[in-house]
Amino acid sequence: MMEVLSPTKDTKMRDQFQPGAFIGSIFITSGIQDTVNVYHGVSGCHAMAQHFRGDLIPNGVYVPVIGTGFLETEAIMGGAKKLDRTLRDIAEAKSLVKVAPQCIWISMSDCPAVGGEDIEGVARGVAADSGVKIVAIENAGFKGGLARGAELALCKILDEVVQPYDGKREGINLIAPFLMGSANWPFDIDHMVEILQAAGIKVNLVLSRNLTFADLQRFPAAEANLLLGYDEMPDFVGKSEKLGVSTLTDDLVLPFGIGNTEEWLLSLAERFGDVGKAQQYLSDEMGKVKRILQRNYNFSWMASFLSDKYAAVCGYAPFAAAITRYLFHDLNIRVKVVGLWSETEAGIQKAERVLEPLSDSLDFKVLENPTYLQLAEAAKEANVDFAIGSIQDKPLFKSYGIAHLNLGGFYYFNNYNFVPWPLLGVKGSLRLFSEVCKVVDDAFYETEAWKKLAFVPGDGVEG
Amino acid sequence: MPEIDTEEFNELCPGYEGVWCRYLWTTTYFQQFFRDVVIVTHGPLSCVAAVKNFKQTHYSLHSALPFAHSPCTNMDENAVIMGGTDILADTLRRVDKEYRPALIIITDTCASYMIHDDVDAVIAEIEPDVKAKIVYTPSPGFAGVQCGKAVEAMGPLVASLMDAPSEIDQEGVNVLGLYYDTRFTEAEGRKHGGNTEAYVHLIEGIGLKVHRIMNAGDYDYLRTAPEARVNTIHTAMWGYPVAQAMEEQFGTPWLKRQLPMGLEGIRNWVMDLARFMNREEEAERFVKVEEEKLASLFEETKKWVEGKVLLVECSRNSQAKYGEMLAYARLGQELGMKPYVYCLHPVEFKSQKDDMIAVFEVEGLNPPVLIGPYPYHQPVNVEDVMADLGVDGDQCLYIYDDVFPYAKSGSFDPSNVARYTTSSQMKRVKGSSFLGVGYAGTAVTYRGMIEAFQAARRKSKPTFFGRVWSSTPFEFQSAKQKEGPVS
Repeated sequence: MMEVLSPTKDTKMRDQFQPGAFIGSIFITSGIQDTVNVYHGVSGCHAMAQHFRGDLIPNGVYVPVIGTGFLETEAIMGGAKKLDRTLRDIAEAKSLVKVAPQCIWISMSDCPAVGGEDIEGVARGVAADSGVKIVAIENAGFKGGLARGAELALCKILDEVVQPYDGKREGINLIAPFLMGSANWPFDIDHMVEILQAAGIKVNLVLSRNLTFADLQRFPAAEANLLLGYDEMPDFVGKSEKLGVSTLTDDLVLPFGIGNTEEWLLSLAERFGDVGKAQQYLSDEMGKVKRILQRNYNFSWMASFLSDKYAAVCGYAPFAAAITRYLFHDLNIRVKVVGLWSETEAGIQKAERVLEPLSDSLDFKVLENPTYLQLAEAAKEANVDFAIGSIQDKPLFKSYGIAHLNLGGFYYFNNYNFVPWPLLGVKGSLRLFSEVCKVVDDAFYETEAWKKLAFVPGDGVEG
Repeated sequence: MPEIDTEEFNELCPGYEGVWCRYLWTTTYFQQFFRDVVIVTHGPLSCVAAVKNFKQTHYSLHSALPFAHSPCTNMDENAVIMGGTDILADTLRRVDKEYRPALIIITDTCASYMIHDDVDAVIAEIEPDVKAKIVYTPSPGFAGVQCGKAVEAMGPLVASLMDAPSEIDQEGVNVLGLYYDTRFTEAEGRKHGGNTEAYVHLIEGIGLKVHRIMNAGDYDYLRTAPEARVNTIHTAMWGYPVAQAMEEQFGTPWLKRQLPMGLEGIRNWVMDLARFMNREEEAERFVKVEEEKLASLFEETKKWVEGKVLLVECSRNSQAKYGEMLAYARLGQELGMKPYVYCLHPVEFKSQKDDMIAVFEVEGLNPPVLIGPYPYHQPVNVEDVMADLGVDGDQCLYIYDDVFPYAKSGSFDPSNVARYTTSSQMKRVKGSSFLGVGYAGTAVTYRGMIEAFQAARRKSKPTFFGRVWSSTPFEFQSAKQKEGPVS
C-alpha cells in the first residue's frame, strides 16, 4: 500500500534543495551555442548559475555566464549603467568574447528585481545600437524554482525568437531535460534521443542541448512537446499551442530500468514512431545486456544479494518515481520511503500516479516535499539499508548510518559521471545496476569490524 | 588606486562583483560550525540552494562539518509584495518544535531585507512561545559584496552571541579565525588533519591550554569563549573582526600574528603568545626542539628551492583569503625563494584591510604583487607572467588556491614545472593541517615542495589534466610543435 504523507502541506516553510528561477532559465539558454548569458545580480547567485551552467559542458557546449558587477551601490542606485556596459562589451566583442554572439540572454537576481530594474529597456537600447538580439528574462529567485525559470525562458524564446510556421509537423521536442532530476542528465538525454530515433520517432529539438541559435526556429516543426519534468508549465504550453505544437500530458514514467524503458518507449512509439522498430530495438539492446550478464557469476551473486533489501529514494519527482519503480520492479528491492520534491502540486500528483500501480504489491510511504529532517527520520524509522538521493543529502543520510548513492540532482557537484554512459534505457540499466551494487556493498561490508578485529603483527605475543 | 565602487574604479575593473555574497558568508559562518544551531533563512529557497549547492556540501564532504539543516521561509513573489513576517513567525515556531536547536539564527536575504520585513518584531512576538534563543543577523546578499567587508560585519555578530565571563582562565588561549573547520580531530576519526591539532601542539607546547577554537563546537562552547585570557589568530580575515569585537565587548586582549607556517612564521606566532603569557623560556625551549626536528628537512628543501621563483596564483578564492597565499609566499621567502603574487583582484587587495594589516604591518612582508585590472575577473595566464619575468619552467614553483589551475602539457605541466597544491579546498594530508599551519603542516609543505620539483624533473609523460587542456596532448605532437614547420 502507498501511504501519502504531506508533512509541509500546511506551511510555506521548506527545507529542501530547490535552485531558483534564474537557474532554470540558464539551464535552457546555456544549451544554445553562439549565445552568451549576462547575469545581472549579486555574486552569490551568479556563482550558482556558473556552477550549474557547467552541466551543459560534457559532450555539449560552453556558453558563458557573465556578471555585470552588481554591488551595493547598484542595489541602492540601480544597476542599469553596468548592465548596459556589459551588454555593449559583449555585443561589440570588445572584451569577453572574440565575436559578437547571435543572442545575449539576460538573467537577474532578487536584488535588481525588487529594485525594479528595467532590464527590458536596457536590452532594447543596446540591441538597437548593436544589432545583436538581446532577450531579457525576469527570472529572479523569488519568481519560483527551476521549472518556473525554464518556463520563463521557454516563453521568451517562443515570444521573441521563434517565427510562426505552417509546414509539416513531425516528431517531438524534448523540453528541459535537466528537470528529469538525474545527476547524469547530459548523457541520459543524449541516449534518450538515440532510443527514440531507433524507435522511428523523430526528435525535432532538445531544448536545450547542443543547439545553435538558428536551430530554435525548428521548434514549431514538431508534432508535440514532451516535458521531461513533471511540473506544469501552463504559460509555455499555451504559447506552444498557439504555434501549433501541443504538449503531451500522459503520466509517463521516465525510462530508468528495463521495465520503465519498455513502457515509456512503446507508449511513445505507438503515437509518434514505429512500435515494431521499438520492439526490435528493445530486443537488440537486451541481447547486448544478456551477453554481459547471462551465466555471469558476479551478476547472479549481486542480483540475489540486492534482492529484498530496504531502500529510501528522494529527489525531484520524475526521477524519484522512476527509480522507485526500477528498484522494486527490476531489482526486487523494497523501497520503503519516497521523498518527492516538486514546485507544483501537479508535479507531485503526477509522480504519485506513476507510483500508484506499486500500491498492491509494496508497502511504502510517499512524503510530499518533506524537509531533510523529516526524510531522514522516516528512512531511519523504516530501517532502510541505503538511500538514493543527491550529493547534497549524502552527509545527511550517512550521518544516520545509512549508505547513500548520489544519482539524482544535477551533474554538478562532486558527481563523478565522467564516463559518457547513460543511466536510462536498457543500456543504462548496466550502469544503474553497477551503481546500486556499490551502495549495497557500502551498506553491508563490515568495515568497522575489519578495523577493530584487524591482525596486528606482534599483538598478543608475550614479551 | 581609486576608491572601491566609484566611477573611476568601475572603469578600471569592470564587472567586479566580489565572491559569493554576504548571505552565503553569514550562513556558512554560523551554521555548520556550531552543532546545535539552526539557521532560518528568511527569503527564497533559491538562496538556500546557493549555499547547499556547493559550500555547505563541500564543507561536509571534505572538512568534517555536519549536514546543515536549512529551513527557509520560501519567499515568493506574493511575499515580496505583501511581506513575509507571518511566514517567518510560523517557520520559527516549527523549527523550535521540530528541530529543537539551542539557538536559532535568522539570516535574511536580498529580497526580505529590501522590503524591510521587521524581523525584530517577529522575534519579539514569538519569543515567549519558543524554547530556543533566537538571534537575527542581517545578511542581505548585496551588502558589502566584497568579501572582506562581509566578513568584517560578522565579528560583532559572533561576539554578541557570547556571554560575559564570570572568571578568566589564566592559562586559556583562544584561536580565532578558522573558517570551514571543526574541532573534530584525526584521533576522533577524521580522515585528514584539520587545524585543531596544530594549535593544540603550539599552545600546549609552551604549557598553556587551548580554551576555544573558533568557529567550531556548539552554542555553549561559543558563548563561553570570553573566559580565555587571550585571543590568538589563525587567519586575519576571519579572526580580526571577532577579536576586535571581543576586545570591545569583554576586554579580551588579542595578538595579531596569523597563520603560523614556516619556521620563522611559527616562531614569531609562538613567541608573541609566550611574551604575552610570560612563558618565554618554555617557548624558546619548545621552539628550539621543534626547529631541530625540522632542521635537516628545512636544509634539504632549501637546496631544491633556493633562488627559484615562487609563482603565487590567486583566484576568486583569494578574494576570501589572500592572507593564506601570502603566508605561503612568506614560507617560500624564508627558503630563499622570490615570490611573485598575481591574479589578486585589486578590489579585494584594497578592501580586505585585515589581511593587509596582518601581512604588511604585522609581518613586514612586501612581496611583489602584479596588479592588473582583471576585467570581469578574467585571470592572467601564468606563462605570460613567466615571460614577463624572464624565467623558464625550471626556475619556478607554481602554487594556486582553487579549481582551474593552469596546465598545458608540452609547456606547463607538473611533469616539467614544479607545482604544489596550496588550496585550502584541495589540500588534504593525513597528519597535517590542511592549511599547512604548525610544525607538522610546515613539514608537509616542505616535503610537498621537494616532491613537486622531483616530479618536474621527468620532462615527459605529462599529466592527464595537462593533456586535456593542451592542443598537443601527446608527446609526439608537442615534439613536432617544438621542431616547428618543415621548410
